Amino acid sequence: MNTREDLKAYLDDELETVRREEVRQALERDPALREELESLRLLGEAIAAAAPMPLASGLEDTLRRLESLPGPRRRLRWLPLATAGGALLVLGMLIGPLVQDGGRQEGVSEPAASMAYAVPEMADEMTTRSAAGQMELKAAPMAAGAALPASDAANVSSGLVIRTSNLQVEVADLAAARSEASSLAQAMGGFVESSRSEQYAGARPSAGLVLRVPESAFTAALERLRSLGEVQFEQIGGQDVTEQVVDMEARLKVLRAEEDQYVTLLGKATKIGEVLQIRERLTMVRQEIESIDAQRKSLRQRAAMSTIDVTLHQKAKVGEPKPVGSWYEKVWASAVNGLLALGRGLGAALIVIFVFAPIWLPVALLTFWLVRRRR
Amino acid sequence: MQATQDSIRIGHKLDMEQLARAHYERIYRFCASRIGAENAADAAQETFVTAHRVKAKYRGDASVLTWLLGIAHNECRRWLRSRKAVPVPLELSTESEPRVASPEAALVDRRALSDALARLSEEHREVVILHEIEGLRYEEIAGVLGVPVGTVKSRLHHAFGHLRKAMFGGEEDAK
Repeated sequence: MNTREDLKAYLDDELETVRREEVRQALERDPALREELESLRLLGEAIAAAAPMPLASGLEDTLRRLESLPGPRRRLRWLPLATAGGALLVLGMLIGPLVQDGGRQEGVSEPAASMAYAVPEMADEMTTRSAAGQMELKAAPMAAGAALPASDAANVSSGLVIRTSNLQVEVADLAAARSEASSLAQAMGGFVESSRSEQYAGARPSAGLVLRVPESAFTAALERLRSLGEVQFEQIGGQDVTEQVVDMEARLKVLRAEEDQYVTLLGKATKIGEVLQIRERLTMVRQEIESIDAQRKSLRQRAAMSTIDVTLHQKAKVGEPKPVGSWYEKVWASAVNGLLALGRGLGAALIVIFVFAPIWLPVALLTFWLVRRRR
Repeated sequence: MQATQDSIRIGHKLDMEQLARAHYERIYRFCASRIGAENAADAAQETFVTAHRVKAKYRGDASVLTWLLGIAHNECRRWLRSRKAVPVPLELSTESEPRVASPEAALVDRRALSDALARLSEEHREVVILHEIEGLRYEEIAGVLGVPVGTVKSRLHHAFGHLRKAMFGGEEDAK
């Protein structure tokens, strides 16, 4: 390789180690090469020394111009990220609670139940839902019974459930339906616990009855009540009190044994102080026994006699004269309805677009950002 | 200087105002040596405006100065092309004292040197300016010009060959 070609690079210390060494050795051998190197060094130094050092002007102009330049790109840079982050946050807030406790959806449907009053077609759905709930409730006491010790479980009539039902029926003849409902309760061995009657101006008249029927007749009574008219709402509930009653009976057993002991002690007591003390204890124990016994009986009774809260609504009278409008009134009404429907549709669309913003907005902004960046 | 560069380069976020304050003089001088002092201010300004426009493309694999010099280089080339101008001869200062402490360098006839530089091709002048005046390494020059390092090396060799011939005559070449 021609050493002279590398002389300038050697001078500038831009050669690799091996080549540098080669050139160095060549320089040692050749004085002409050394002279040439020296002239190169001299030239370089002369150029550097004589380089013009003009005073820079125009910095202020440049700074002013830079300031006037649009700088939106920098501001936009964090915008997509911030938007995406915010969207994720909102999405998380929306989805989070739904995922965390799906059980709350039960609670959500509670208001829906009250809506069933107004929307008859929903009543069917509610009934099926309630039926499912009833099945669960039926299964519960069996499970509870199985968990009890066999001896205690035998003491209790297998499964004590307080049954309640809420029924809304639309009937053609309110008075007739009402009397039929109360006579039905009596015929089945039950009674009417309370009754009320409502008649507000502008509202359909209604009557409410709380019926108590033997637990065995509960289903049959419901069946009869449903046949009174058109069921608008039905809810069946139950509270399993088996465990409560078993617990109470166990405590009664203990308290009665205590009572017996005190009675025995009282017979043996000789000192007046002892007698008074034992009497006091005995009274306390007996009071407790009575209280628990009363609760137990109440529970048993409520379990034995199911409660049906039925509300009867007067059906709207058919054949009421409907004012027939003239043709332009019809056109007017349909036009107004059309306009309202259009408004509602547009409103709904806007709401949907707004609600779905967390999904499309980041995509749109990202695209916008990318397009701008590419330009 | 190094600290300033680093703070300007952090995360590729280039504050153009800060950059201009730090490098304007170098860029101005480079443009002045390429296209003359009277046009240097315009070219330097264009350099920073262009840098501002394309700063998103700065990837940080070259030093900011090299990057800016590359843009300035293009600006100067565009200026020369648009005017179909004859490259302005590099005007070496003849009046001042030599700044480099080499007595031999002072012996070189500056006027002759200036003429010799003016006769160089544009490509050769570029590398001479970038290396001898701007003091860039071969690799940095390659970055500025967008050519391989080997090309820089060979251009410098040839440029100095021409200069040597012009300044010291052809008799040394013959040896």
